Amino acid sequence: MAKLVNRFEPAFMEQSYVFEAVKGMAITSRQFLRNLFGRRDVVTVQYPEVKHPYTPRFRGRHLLTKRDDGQVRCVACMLCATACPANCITIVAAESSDHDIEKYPSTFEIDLLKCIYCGFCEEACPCDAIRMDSGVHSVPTGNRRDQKFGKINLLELAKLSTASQGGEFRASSHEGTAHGRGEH
Amino acid sequence: MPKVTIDGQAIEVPAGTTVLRAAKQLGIEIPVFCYHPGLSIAANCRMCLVEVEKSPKPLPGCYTEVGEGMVVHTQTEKIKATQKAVLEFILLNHPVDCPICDQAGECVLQEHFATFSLQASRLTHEKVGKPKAKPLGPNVILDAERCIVCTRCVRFCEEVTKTCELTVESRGEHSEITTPEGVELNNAYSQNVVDICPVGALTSRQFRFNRRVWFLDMRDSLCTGCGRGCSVRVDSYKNQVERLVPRYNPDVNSYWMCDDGRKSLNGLKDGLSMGWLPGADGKARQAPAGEGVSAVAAWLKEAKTSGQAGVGIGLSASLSNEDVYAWANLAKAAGAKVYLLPRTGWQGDTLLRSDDRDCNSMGTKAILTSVLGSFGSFGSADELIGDAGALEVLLVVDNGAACDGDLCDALARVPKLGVFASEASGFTQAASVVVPLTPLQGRDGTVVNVAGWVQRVQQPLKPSVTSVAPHVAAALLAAAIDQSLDFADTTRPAELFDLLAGAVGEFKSLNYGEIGDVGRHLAEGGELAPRRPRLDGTPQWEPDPVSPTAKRPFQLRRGA
Repeated sequence: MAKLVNRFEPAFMEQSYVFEAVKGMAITSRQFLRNLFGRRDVVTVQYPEVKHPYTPRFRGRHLLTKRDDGQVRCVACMLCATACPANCITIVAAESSDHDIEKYPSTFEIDLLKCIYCGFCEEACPCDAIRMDSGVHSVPTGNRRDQKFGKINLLELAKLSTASQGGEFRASSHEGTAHGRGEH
Repeated sequence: MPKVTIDGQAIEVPAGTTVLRAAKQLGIEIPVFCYHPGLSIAANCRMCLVEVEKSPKPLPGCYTEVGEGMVVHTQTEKIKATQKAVLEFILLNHPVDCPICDQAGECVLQEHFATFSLQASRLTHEKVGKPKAKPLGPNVILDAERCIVCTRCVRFCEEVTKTCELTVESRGEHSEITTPEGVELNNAYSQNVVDICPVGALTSRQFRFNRRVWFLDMRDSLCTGCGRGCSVRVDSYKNQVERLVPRYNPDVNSYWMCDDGRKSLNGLKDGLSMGWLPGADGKARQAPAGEGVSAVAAWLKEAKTSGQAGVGIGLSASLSNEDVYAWANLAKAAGAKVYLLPRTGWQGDTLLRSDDRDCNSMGTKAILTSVLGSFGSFGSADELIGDAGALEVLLVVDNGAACDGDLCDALARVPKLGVFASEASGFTQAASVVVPLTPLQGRDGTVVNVAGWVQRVQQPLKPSVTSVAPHVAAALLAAAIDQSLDFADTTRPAELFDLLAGAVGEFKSLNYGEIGDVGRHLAEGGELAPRRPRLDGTPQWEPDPVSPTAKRPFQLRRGA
């Protein structure tokens, strides 16, 4: 079906362009002089020296959290890799030598070039082991290979998790959680 | 025959049928944990409780035999409450560590909890602690906390292998599966307990932590480890075999398979991806299959024109029927003598493991006898050692045949040795031309087991682009030396099988498309054979309604 489009019909003064160009320069000059001598209302900042503050829920560079004893909190359950729509998480699970920990990730790799920063991984994680609250939004590297972040990179920004370790049974807070104790 | 009514549907079943089986015939699923159709009935999990009219209490459906006029209800409020209570009881001390449990995704407890309960724990005490990650033997690891003491594993070791390594220790919530002092679970079939374990209590040491089950690509196939040819499911990830699990086949392997069979494909990818040729400077250079086949074709052509040179073809009995048919015809056209090279180093037993290590001896012999017929019979490995000095060209189509001692020395005497191989072996070391071959699991084809059952390898893996299937290689070589051969432009196994069925008497009236998942028998001319008696002598067969190996793992979709 054809649709009627109302085209803009410039008046004579606008068609000449000269007057319009002068009008535009006037606006630019006014802004320039105001910022030079008077009140400053510049919206840009001198990135990367100056940065805008991020909201607390900003999804930035991934990090792996640590246990109270400093070991990586991840138990290699692969739920993040399962939830990941970009297939950018590669985990190799292994048997831990620590008797209290059964399974741990011997390698944990995120391909940041594939990652779409959707945050499904931290949502899927049952252990609060992967988080994106680092507030770091750009990860510049010299080559593509370095964009594959391994465990070492992910633990650089590591935090202690605020969640309780191992889901130990607590009489006061068991409501709503099915079956208290888990080994994670 | 007693008439029974289950949930309003009437059915007449033979006397002695249990309520569970009668319900199964009506399409009514009764949940179970401890019941396994390949084992005796224990009725200890109480998950299958059903309400029977005129009975004061619910009865276990797996154990109760039907009686005349019996009226059974499986969906009443009372039964739903019972199932919920049973699940709460079973889950009381369960650690619920699904995120690190290998069974998650194919766990009967997970499935039943999601279907029948979804109730939060009301326990206010500490759970009972038990040993975790305790090795029961070289292949099986026990997590006693996850165990629901269904005793399937104990019954397996008592009834199927009759080795009795496992037992239940202590009582009540302290019950624990264990081995007696000084005994370990080390029989040839030990990993079957991992398959039949409805929860993650028993895990396989080979597969443990390797891959979450929902990532696996599951394809039906058969085990090529020995002559039995157990029906299996090949679970792979990114084209690499992660594990083999037995598939129910009443005539071949029942519900079981041996540990060596499971290991036979461990880590198998797409095989040898590159072969090699003698380069211009005398050193070997890497070459894909096409170049190797051309080089070998040149040898055959030369030998055919001269008419003087002796040509030999060594075939392994672990090739598919289609491969053997193509190579036998090629041998006939090229005037080559065929030698059958066996795989060695294998010990059979009376349960499943056959003494014959090759997965297709019967088919290979039948085809060679029929195709070569008047041309001359095939020779053995010993004859090859004797004849090696007189041979100008020898082609070995190897699917794992052993190259040891005398045979290797004999091969070194052959001036033109071409080896078609899917993995590096003694043959490839001695060869001047190596052609990378697609492994049997990377292509479609049929094999015949020691009892005459024809089964299909249903290509669970994708082949490497640089490798070639043996029957295709044979077709290419045949095309190079003689254009008139009937199979020279046939590269599909199904078409080859049709030719084969027409040419070889034993395969007459078999149809490739009708072989299906469980196979057909040679002697019965493709008719579905009557079910064989079970390994322990009892005659009943029925697919497991809730087998952990059944093809319906807990649905967890990738990519949300």
